[in-house]
Amino acid sequence: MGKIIKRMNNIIQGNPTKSFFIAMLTRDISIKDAIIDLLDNSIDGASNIKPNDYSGLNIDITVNKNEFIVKDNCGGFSLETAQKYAFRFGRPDDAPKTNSTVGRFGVGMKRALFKIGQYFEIESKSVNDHFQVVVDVENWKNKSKIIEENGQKISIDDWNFNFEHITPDTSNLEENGTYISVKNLYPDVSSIFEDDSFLNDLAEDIEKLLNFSLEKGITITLNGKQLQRKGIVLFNEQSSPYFFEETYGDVKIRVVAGLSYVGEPETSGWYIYCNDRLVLEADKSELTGWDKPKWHIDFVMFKGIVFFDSLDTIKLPLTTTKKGIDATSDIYKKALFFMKEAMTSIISFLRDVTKIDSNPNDYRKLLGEQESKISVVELKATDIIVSRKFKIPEINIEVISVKNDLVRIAFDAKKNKVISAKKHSKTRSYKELGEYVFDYYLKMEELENE
Amino acid sequence: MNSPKQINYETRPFKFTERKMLLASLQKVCSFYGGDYQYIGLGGIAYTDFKLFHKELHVDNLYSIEGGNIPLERLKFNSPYSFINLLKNKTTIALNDIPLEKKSLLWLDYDGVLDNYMFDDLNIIFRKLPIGSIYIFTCNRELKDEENNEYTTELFKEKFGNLIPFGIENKDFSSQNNYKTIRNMFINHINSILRERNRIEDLNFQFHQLFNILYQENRGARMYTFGGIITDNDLNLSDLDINSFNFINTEENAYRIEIPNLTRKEIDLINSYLYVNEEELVKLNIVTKSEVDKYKETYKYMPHYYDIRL
Repeated sequence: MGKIIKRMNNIIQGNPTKSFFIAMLTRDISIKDAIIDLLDNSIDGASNIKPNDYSGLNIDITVNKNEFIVKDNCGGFSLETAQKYAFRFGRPDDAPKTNSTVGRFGVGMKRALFKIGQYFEIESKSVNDHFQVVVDVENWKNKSKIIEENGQKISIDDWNFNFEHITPDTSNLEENGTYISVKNLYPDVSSIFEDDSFLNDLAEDIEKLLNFSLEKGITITLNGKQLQRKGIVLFNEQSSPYFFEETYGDVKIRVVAGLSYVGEPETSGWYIYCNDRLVLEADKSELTGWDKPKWHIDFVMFKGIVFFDSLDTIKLPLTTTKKGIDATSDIYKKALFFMKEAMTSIISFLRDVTKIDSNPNDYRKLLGEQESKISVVELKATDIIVSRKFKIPEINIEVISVKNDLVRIAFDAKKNKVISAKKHSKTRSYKELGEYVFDYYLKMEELENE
Repeated sequence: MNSPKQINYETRPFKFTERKMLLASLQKVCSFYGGDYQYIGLGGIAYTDFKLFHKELHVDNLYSIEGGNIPLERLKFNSPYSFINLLKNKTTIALNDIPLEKKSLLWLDYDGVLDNYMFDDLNIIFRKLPIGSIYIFTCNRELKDEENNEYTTELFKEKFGNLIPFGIENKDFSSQNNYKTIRNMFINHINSILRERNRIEDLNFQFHQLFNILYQENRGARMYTFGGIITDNDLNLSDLDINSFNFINTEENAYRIEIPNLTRKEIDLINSYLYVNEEELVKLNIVTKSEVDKYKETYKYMPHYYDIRL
């Protein structure tokens, strides 16, 4: 074994240290988001093996102060994927276009794992391979390797991970899928994992952000509790939603908007999905065109959904954290043009509803009872028959416009005078007297036909 | 839209004159853009514009929108041709049922004062209309709220939000300026939609004002008509052969329709002197120079009413 010389050449190392790299990588992500990033990988798997229907597929999440586990039966990933992409930091330029995923930065899984703890195991069982990667972060940080440069052997950081093949007896997986477990949790992570309010928030975020996948039938459990689909629905019978679809370059845009239930103001607004991941929820801000006019409680029944889909995920209008929409992107501005068009007709109708003289909410509720509903998954898949048109509900728009003509007059008058006027006019109630008096005025002033 | 109930459109001399002026110029413009237009209007129960444009512009595809509470039966009964498509709904909803991607002539002759739904209508119309399409609207130009009070800048802002012109002042609601305010708001909104649209379709759509007209029936409402054409290039009025019409107006200051009050005999008198010996005419002290000038502006378009036995 030759002598190892450190820094005796003219090279100044520009490599980051692994500790620095981990710190930078995990700095700007919350634990919740890190976990959801991991779930994105499972869902990418699901969409590869059963693109149209996720029923029968599960993701089970276990969170406690000692351990974090995600186990799915969503097909796993191959050794080749592991070697080329899954364990590399950043996606190589020559990586194939991702198949409609949102995991486009190639850091999601590692970032999540480094964020949570110091020991992790990733096991993957796919059609051809069954292997696991075990990482002890402390060991990995200190791992170096010897290379030969200019005839001299030098020691450099070793960034590689090692995999091992697995036999059925040591396996955590019965079906093709992925099993990820993190142990030796960081103290702050460990304490947060014990906190019920964290678990509630996490459950809610998953239900919300992955609702499209839940609607498509995937089962997600958190500590054994099955998470619910929080479905967005639009009415679709008496009224028909506005639909528009077009492909610009590599990105397909579908804009859908219409009416939904009254009584849930927090769910009104625009929803934006990028490759089926919800990135904007119930937005009522200028970002989604709510400046002319601004959102108002009268528009509570409005719901709109935009689907951006692309094989080339970098073209989606996402911010780098995948948590928001890049409103300056050209593709988003194109969608906004049609979002505004959809809003114009729907809001115009909703304004009319407010003019119903009796209780507009009765009408809104009635509509909710009579309408059939169409789910977000169906809204995305359904064939568009009529493009760029919102059809208003057929029930009783006539009633609205007639009632719209009526106003209520009320005033107080001395009781004894009213009683004598009522007697004199032979009317039977104060209401009738009021109508009589008004008609009398119109007649006397010859205003009846104006 | 209830005014059709109150007065017969066909007997309003100012409206009539305006309609004939529009027709005269539309004949040129439509022909420049190759004809084959569809007409979209608010026909009411008189359908005067429908009859006129069908016969004179040869527009056969006609859509009449009526959002008031006139029963559909009555609208149908009064429709002069069975091929007029009747849409009984308010404009913002009904416009969705019309194939606006076809070359269109629209005249939205609203009888009310400025309201948000008119901008909603622009939002639908200008996202779809193709080149050569003509958009005209008419409204009562008083800037007053539902209770008939003149707006203050605060109330106006509350009602129209960011549609209002930047730096608006109370004087912009006065009779002198109200139509300029309306025009400003329309132009801004139209341009903003077309800008967005150009970005989508990689086009260069532009809106060019052609009509900017004020009129008032005797002691009636003060009306404002504004309109123009969508092109994809700069507009040269002489190409359209309409620059000889005085009422074609691309400016901020509007053209006013003024009809002199003249008897039949006075009209015959003026006709016999017209363009030849007008100074002599005025010296006769029967009609004033101002009346003669007004007459010259309008006589080609003015209606003549006679009492006849039916």
